Amino acid sequence: MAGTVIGEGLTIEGDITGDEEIVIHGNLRGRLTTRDAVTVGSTAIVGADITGSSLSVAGQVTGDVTASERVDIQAGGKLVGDIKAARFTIADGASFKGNVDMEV
Amino acid sequence: MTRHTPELSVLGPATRVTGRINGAGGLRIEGAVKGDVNVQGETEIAEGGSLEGNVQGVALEIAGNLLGDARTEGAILVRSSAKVRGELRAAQVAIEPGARVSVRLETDFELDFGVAARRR
Repeated sequence: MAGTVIGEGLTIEGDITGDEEIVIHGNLRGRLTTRDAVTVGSTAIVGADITGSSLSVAGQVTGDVTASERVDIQAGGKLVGDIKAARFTIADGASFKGNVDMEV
Repeated sequence: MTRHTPELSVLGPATRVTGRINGAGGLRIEGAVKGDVNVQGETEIAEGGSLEGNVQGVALEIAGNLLGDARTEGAILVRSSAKVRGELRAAQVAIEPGARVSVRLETDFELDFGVAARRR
């Protein structure tokens, strides 16, 4: 069960920090930092730098991403920004523009 | 309140938000929010949750802490576990025994002194 859910109709302008899972179906502009997983749903529009344990993108993200575990861009997902993560996947039908640093 | 409807937003107990929150749907604050909240829906500050900022919405239930002004079209319910400092303006306001409030309160109603007052 997700600790934090930002619903489809909601817009947050500012910083979110936390120690729990965050699921976004709505809009976020600002910065997002958590020690847990971040999920960006298909209806979500995020303009924020994201730091988390993992990130799954099915919506739109513009911003730099730092994940301690992995980043997955799902089909239909769009990510513009630099990624720093040990594991990274881009599904068929996903879009990505930016640099990837896998810390090798 | 159920957690899994897409219209409902939940800010969990380990989540802190600094900034503005706008939009539609219900909002349940279990963590800490610093900033103004303006939602077309019911806002709930859960026990253990806190909001430092102003609230505008359809209805508001406070079981946690609120420092700021609240203005709703519907009712404001202050639960017994709540601590509130600010101004509450609503169609109706209910405060449970045990709640700690230091507020200015305003609700919409007309006083009717009836025929007796008019006779003088």
